[in-house]
This record gives sequence, C-alpha cells and structure tokens, in this order.
Amino acid sequence: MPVHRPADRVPLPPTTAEKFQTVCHYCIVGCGYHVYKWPEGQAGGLRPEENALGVDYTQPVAPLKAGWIAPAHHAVITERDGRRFNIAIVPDQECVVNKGHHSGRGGTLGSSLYRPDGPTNTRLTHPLVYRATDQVTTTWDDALDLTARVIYGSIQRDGNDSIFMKIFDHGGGGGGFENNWAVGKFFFDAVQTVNCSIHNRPAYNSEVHASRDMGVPELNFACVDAELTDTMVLWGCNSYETQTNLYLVHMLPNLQGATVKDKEAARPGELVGPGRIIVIDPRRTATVVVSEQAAGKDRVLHLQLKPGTDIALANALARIIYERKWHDSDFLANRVEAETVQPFLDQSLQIDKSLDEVLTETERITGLSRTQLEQAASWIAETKADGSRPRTMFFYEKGIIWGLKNYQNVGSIVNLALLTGNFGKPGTGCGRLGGHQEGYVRPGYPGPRPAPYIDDLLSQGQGNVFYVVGCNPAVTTLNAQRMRETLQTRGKLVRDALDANFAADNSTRAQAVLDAISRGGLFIIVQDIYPTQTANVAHVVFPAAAWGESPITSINGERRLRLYEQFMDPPGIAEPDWKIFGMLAQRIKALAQADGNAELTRRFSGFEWQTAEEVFLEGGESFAEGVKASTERYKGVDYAFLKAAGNNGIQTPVTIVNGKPQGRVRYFENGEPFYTDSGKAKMLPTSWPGFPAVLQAQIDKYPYFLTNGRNNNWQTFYNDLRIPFHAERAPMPFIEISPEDAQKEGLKPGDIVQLYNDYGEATAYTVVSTSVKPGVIFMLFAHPRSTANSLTTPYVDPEVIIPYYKGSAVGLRKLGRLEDLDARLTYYPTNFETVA
Amino acid sequence: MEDQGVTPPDGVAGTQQVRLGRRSFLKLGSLGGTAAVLAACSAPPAPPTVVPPTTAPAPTAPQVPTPVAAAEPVTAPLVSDVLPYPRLKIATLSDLQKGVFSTAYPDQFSPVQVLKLGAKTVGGVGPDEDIVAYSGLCTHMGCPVTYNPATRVFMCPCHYSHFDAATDAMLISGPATQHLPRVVLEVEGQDIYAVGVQGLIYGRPHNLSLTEL
Repeated sequence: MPVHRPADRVPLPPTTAEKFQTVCHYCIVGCGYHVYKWPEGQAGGLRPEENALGVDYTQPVAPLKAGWIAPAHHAVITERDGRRFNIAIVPDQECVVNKGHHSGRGGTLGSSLYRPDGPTNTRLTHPLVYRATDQVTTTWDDALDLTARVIYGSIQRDGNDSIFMKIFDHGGGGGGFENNWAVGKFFFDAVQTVNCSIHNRPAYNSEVHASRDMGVPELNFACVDAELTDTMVLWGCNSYETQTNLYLVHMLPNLQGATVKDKEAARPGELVGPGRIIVIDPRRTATVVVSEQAAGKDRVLHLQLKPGTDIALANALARIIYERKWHDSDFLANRVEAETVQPFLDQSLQIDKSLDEVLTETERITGLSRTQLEQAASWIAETKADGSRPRTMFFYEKGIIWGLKNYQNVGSIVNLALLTGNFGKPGTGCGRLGGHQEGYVRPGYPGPRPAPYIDDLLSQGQGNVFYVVGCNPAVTTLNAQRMRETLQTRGKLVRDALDANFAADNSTRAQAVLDAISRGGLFIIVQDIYPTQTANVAHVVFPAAAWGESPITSINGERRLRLYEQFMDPPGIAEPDWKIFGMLAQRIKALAQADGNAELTRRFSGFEWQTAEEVFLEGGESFAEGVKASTERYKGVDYAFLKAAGNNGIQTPVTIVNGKPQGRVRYFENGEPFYTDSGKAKMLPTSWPGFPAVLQAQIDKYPYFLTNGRNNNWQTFYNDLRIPFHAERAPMPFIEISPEDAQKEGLKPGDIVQLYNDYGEATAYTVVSTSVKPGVIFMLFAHPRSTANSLTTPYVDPEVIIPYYKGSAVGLRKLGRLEDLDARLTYYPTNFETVA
Repeated sequence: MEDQGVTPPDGVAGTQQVRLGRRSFLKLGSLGGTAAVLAACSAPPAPPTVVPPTTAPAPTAPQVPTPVAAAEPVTAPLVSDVLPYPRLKIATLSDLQKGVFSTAYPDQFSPVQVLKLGAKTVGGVGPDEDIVAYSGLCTHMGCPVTYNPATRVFMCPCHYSHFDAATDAMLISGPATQHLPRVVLEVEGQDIYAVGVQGLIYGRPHNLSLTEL
C-alpha cells in the first residue's frame, strides 16, 4: 500500500505503569499530557480496573472522549542501560488548555521519541569534532577543551564581541527557563558579547517591541477569553493549523454558540450571542474555510488584503471607528496618555483628510472594498442593540510580526485595541498568538537597541566564533542562501586549518583555528538534537537532550507555568543545554585560572549546577519585585509546587500573597496600570510605509509576489521528517498557486517548480489552490529540503531589526515531475478547497 | 490479557457469524507475550452512542448491514504479528453504483466506507481495480467521517480533519495523527470480502478487541 499505516494495535498501560505530567513542547498553546511508562512485554487489560487509564476498553472508546491511545501516542524506547519500555503520551482531559484534545503535533509526540531502532535514531548522541575531512565522535572532555580554548583565545585576542551567537530564547522543547538562564548567564555575564541573535531572526530583540513600548505586555489574555468574546480578529495567523487547540477547543465553540451561557455568566446584563470572526490574511486559509463551515458565512469575514498592506488596513478601520464614534472615549480619557492621541489621529487616521479620501486610498492600497472595511469596523466596535460595547479580541502572529515594518504593524493593531477599550475584561485582549512557548529569564542583554544585525556582520567577515543552539539558520534566517554561503566559505578556512593539524593536541589546534580566523575564518559550534543543515558545516557539535529527557519549565500563550517532567534518558551521552554551558564555562574558567586571568576566572564562575531545579531557582531570583514584574516572573515557585499544581500550573506573573504563590488570568483588570512610567498606555503614530527599495526592485523584476507560512507541521520539521506519518505528508515543500496562474504556467498539481530571484532559489511541488489570488504564490516555510527563506531579501525593519520574511518576489520555472509521489501524496490544498 | 490459546469460535454472538483463523497462538508484537483471545462471547458490548459535539453538525450515521459469514474459514497468514481477521462479505459490486457503500468491519461497531473510485488505484480490487475501503471513524477523536464522492474527500464534522480517498485516505490536513485505516478487500464473483485492516481503528487497543472478551 502506498501510504504508511501504523500497526493495528497498541498495548495498554498496566495499572503498575509510572505516570508523569508534562506539556506538549511544540506550539504556544501548550496542551497538557500524561506520560505512562512500563516495561516492554507487559500490557494492561481491557477492563477499567485493569489499565492505568481507567478506561473501559471492553467497548469502543466513545467519540470525543479522551482515553484512546492512538498509535502515534506510543513508542517502545531504549534507555541508556539497554532496558526497554513502552511509553504512551496521552492528552490530559483535566487540563483546561486542551481538555483532552491533541493536535497533529502533540498527537505524534510518542512517534518523536528517540529510538535507536527507529527513524529517530539520527539523533545526535555524542560530541563531534571536525578532525580531518570529517566530523568524528569524541568525548565531552575533548570537544569541550577545543571549544573552550578557541573561545578563551578569541576573547583574549579580539575581545568579547568576537563571539557571535544565534540561540533559542523560547519555552517548550529546546528551551525553557532552565536552558534560557544558562544561555543568558554564559553569554551576557561571562562572555559579555553584544553580537547575539535569537533563533529565528538576525538580532537580539523583541518581536513585539511596539506593544511593550505602548505599555501592553503581549500575553495579556487567557484561552477562556476566546470563549467569552464577541468578535475575534485573527490578523496574520492561521490558528486552525498552527495554534490548533486554541482554535478547536476555545474559538470554535464560541463561533458555534456553545459558550453563550458562559458569556451570560461572565458578562451579566449584556446582550451576547454566538461569536464572530474576522480573519485578515492574504490567503484563504484553513481557518477561514473551517470557520465558515462551523459558523456559517454570515459570521465569518475574510479580509484577503494585498500582502504587506496591514498598516493601511488597521489605520482605515480605526478611522471608520473614530468617525462613527464607536471608540471608547472613557477608556481613551482615563487609560491612555493624552499627548499620544493627537499624533495618532494625525498620522494613523489622517484626520486632516476626509473619510472618503482615506477609504479610497485604502481600497487602492489593500485591494479591499469599502463594504468590507465598514463591515469589519462594525463587527469590531459598533455599539450593540442594548447599548453595550462589543468585546473584541485582537490576535496577531507571524503575518504581522514578520510582515512589512514590524514596529508599526504591531503598533497599528494595539492602537485598535486601545481605541476600542478592549483590555482588562473577560473576552478582551490584544496580543500575539505565538509560535513557540515562552520561558525567558536571563540577565540583561548588554547590547544597544536596535541591536546589531549579526547575519549582515557575519557575511561581511566579522565575528570569530559562531555559536548556534537549537536553531537552524542555514534554513530559517532571512536571505538564507547568503548565510549558507557565509558558513561554508568562512567555515572552510577553519576546516583547512584543522585538516593540517589532525595529529596535534588541542592547544595547537586551537591556535591554528585562531590563525585561520585571522584570515577570515569562522569557528562554528552547533548544539542541537539532530544533525541539522547548520550542524553539517560545524567544527564542533554538542548533542543536546530533548523534551522528556530532562525536566524543564515553560509558560504557554496564556502564561500558564508548568513542569515538564523527565521520563526517559537522553540518547547516548547527550546532556541538557544548561549542563553543556555549565561544563563549557567550567573549562574556560580552568583555562583562565591556569593563565592567571582573574577577570575571566570571575566571569566564568558560578556554573557548577547539578540539577535543573537549581538553574530554575537561580534564574527566578533575577526577577524584580513589584506589581510590574515581567510576564514570566515566577520567583517564589519551585518544582514541588509545580508538581502539585499539575498540568494546570499557575498563570504568571506570580506574586506571593500571604506566603503563597498567586497567578492571574488576564492583565489590566480592576484598573491595573499599563506598563509605562505614567501607568497609561501610549498610542503609536503609524503610517503605511510602502515597500522598501530592495523588495520593490524584486517586485519590478519578477512576476509573482511570494509569501509563506506554516501548515500542521512543526517549525523546521526536525522531528516531523523522522515521523513517518508527517514525513510522507510533507516530503518537500509545496507552493500554492492560483488556478489562473497555474494555467498560464502550464502547471498541474504535483509539478515540480523552481522559484528564483536575485537572492536565491528554492524547489517545491505544486498545489493549485484558490487560497491565493492571481499574482501571489505561497510557499511552505522552513522546510529543510528546500527553504523559502533562500528567496527573502536582507531587508529588516531598521527600528527593530525584524525581517520582512513574508514578502518577496520570484520567477518560476517548471522542472517536471517526481513520479513516485503521485501514488502516495495528496496534492489537495490544506484549506481543503479542491479545484476542479 | 494473558497468554492463552485461541479457541476458534463458531461465531460471535448477536448479528454476526464469524469464522476465524485456525491458529492457536498469536504473538501480538509490542503487546509482548500476550495473545488475543477470539472466543465467542455471550453478548456483544452495548453499542456506543455516537455523540456529536454539541457544537458540530450531527454526522450522518453509517448504514451498518449485517456482515455475512464467509463460505469457508480462511486461514490467517502465518505471520506472527497479524491479527486473525475474519473474512466477511461486506458488500456486492452492485452496492457500489453510487460510488460509496456504508457497512461495518470487523464488527458492527466499526463503520466502514467501501468506495468505487472510478480510476485504478494501488491495492484496488474488482474488475476495474478501483474498489477500496476505509474505516469510517476519524482517527483523531472517533467521529464518523462523511464522504464526498465528487471530490473523493472524507471529512470529519467534529474537527475538520480531511482525508483524500484517491491517495489512500491520506490526511490532507487536520488534527488526526493517522491516515484512515484501510480495510483489505478481496472480490469473489459479485461479492466483496473484507479480510483485514491496516492501521488501528479509533477507540480500541487492537482491531479485534471487541471480539476478545
């Protein structure tokens, strides 16, 4: 049969199975799970008292009831000592986030576990060092020693800023408070370099600087608010595919009217009904199609704007609302800094022009009709029949964050939320929906804002050492083809030096590396769980522990802090990131001591952690006191508290009341001040900037506007390419092209095409879809087999150094077919709308 | 479940008459030393009520005909990890005039959709090698899927997982973590027999668990 199917059975956990609490480590939603572990060869019985789930398997598990173990929830793992265990990872019905549901990501956690006899056996198990012509397995001592000597020598000779890094800053897998604290302490306190960047971008910055500058922490609402709101505005986010259980468990019931009673209880005396949704996206996504099917088209509005025109749209909606007097004048008067309102009216609303002039201009820029603009403004803000204000939530994610001009993109949406007073009540809020979970705790970043654009600096020959952890810039950074060229070209100078010194000791080899760096070389360190495209060009590779192989803590999109327990050994001799940084710092400290360097001895001290909880508690001490603590503040909480709190955890920021940790559901309730010096929020003047010159040049030269996005799969497919179910569904990236353009290009579904422009090229298979308008091509993001980011320009918002990943322009060339895919790959679009 | 010999039953009570393979021991792979017991049971479990979500459109219940006993007992393949699936007549070629026929296999609690795709497909049976069958329960949370013969797409009305019948019921998109289990078919004259299932049917630890008691 062409399509992979798992076995026709799974063993049930016996009542003696060990049980762990954990949270799916992938997306921001953070669904709760239970992990059952029991020896291979044992199985529980069908009767509820005979299995650890307590489920009656003498009859089929009823639909929509948690308790069934899907084959992808299960694996047989092998521990370091060779003992083998069944593992079943089952969604937690008691967790208020997912209520027993799983997505296609969390539902395959079992399949993702390390198995030496399975497809995940490509995990990194031992340190690797480039010796002579190849990376070879070696000991921790050897790999750490060479690395420590190069870093120490580089700091001594060329200063702290000669060390560059690109490292995760998130929660969930490959992150968490423990690993983030270790990274921060190592690079900010010990190395003290400004040349840092975050996993998915070329600088050390926030993706939502604008929201924070306006006094609005970006994670200010709770999942339950999506059940209680009147109108959900999803702006540049495709939640059905990418925040699946936020959509299915919280938004969808609201659209279907199933939460009306909850609304009546939470909002007494107000006229409430089934919710409505506005999706703002240049694609007709699965979220649009599913919402229409579930709620009916009359409660779904899709604004299919021209890519990159979000600021113009947000400004026009605000102008209509202001003109119709649907804004919240009390809120503006009491909660917003008065002096920020007029610049907003002048620049964002263009109050000197007539409404007609503004709307005519907006129609031209966005491609949307006046009727659509009026309808959206009405759904967001028009007073209801009973005189009450509607409650509206504004959700945004990568379509905005990675859209044209990050700072004003985000600010223009926060403006709308402030204008309509949608903060501090059930069913309100404005923030990012998120990709990863969060878990940020670090000493202060020593660099400036805007931070240095380190991808640019690397390509210009700057930097001695490039330390990459838990990310894959060869695939995911902007203008990724340039990054690969930089890594290969500069990395080869160091490889040549190591080739020439294959028999030498580490002292000699480190000196040879430093000499090669003087000639333009770059020493590349990668710390990861798989041999990524970036790891392939590294000189040292450190094997890291993954989710479930070391305890971590993180928060989800509603700031729910939980303990993700360890339930299995890391593969080989892999270690958690915090421990690797601890070992490396101790080695550098030893070199400094031997050298009599008191300064570096001091900076690299304090890394002798023994347990993950030690790191967690040390990081927690760094949070400031007071009400205006950072979103992540967890000081006062320890692992025992979190273990007792289970998969519902506690919502940060945590304050200690009468000696007990206390969380919060949402921000700005009961007059809580905004996070500015005045305690009032700031409006931000936002003007649509038009396309930057580097992008306009591509648009003028190539026929198709290129945008990109995600599907059901997680990030760079690092696990998914090793999970048969996912791997065969996404063997390579796809493009979506309109039927009109497909006909013009002579393209059929499944045809292989090359996309190209002045910056790079990518190869993908064709999906013909009405999701995109003629003239626009969508490509799946971050697939390592061929990356859409080879086609992005080097343009970043100069205010915050955030790339415009979502916009480029390309030519297209048909390359024929990969005939074997026809029998085993569906070419239907992920929004389900088939094209005849 | 304990290691036990398999008693070839002469039928499963209720509406089904099922003949089973003659093996005495079954090794059930990762179930480890356990064996499925396919003894006749006095009464089948009570049919579960399929409750659609209060918020989703009610799925149409599949038509569940009474499977007919195979003419002869069929020996299950002598492979240690194959369950002793019954060989059941689940449809006739004439049932497929509309392109789709609802039935059940391997027991009445497992709805199955038999399709005539209209184009030869891998593993397809019948004169045109285009007849296939899939489990009718979504592999996400068990809601009965609906089939659109025009697009040849299965859709789950609960959470909108979609499966492409023309590509072996591969998931197009949605929260499911398994393609629809495929029912292996044989054709004998005008009769279509089901002889096995690839993949795990929603709601059970193995596909014959409801005949195990």
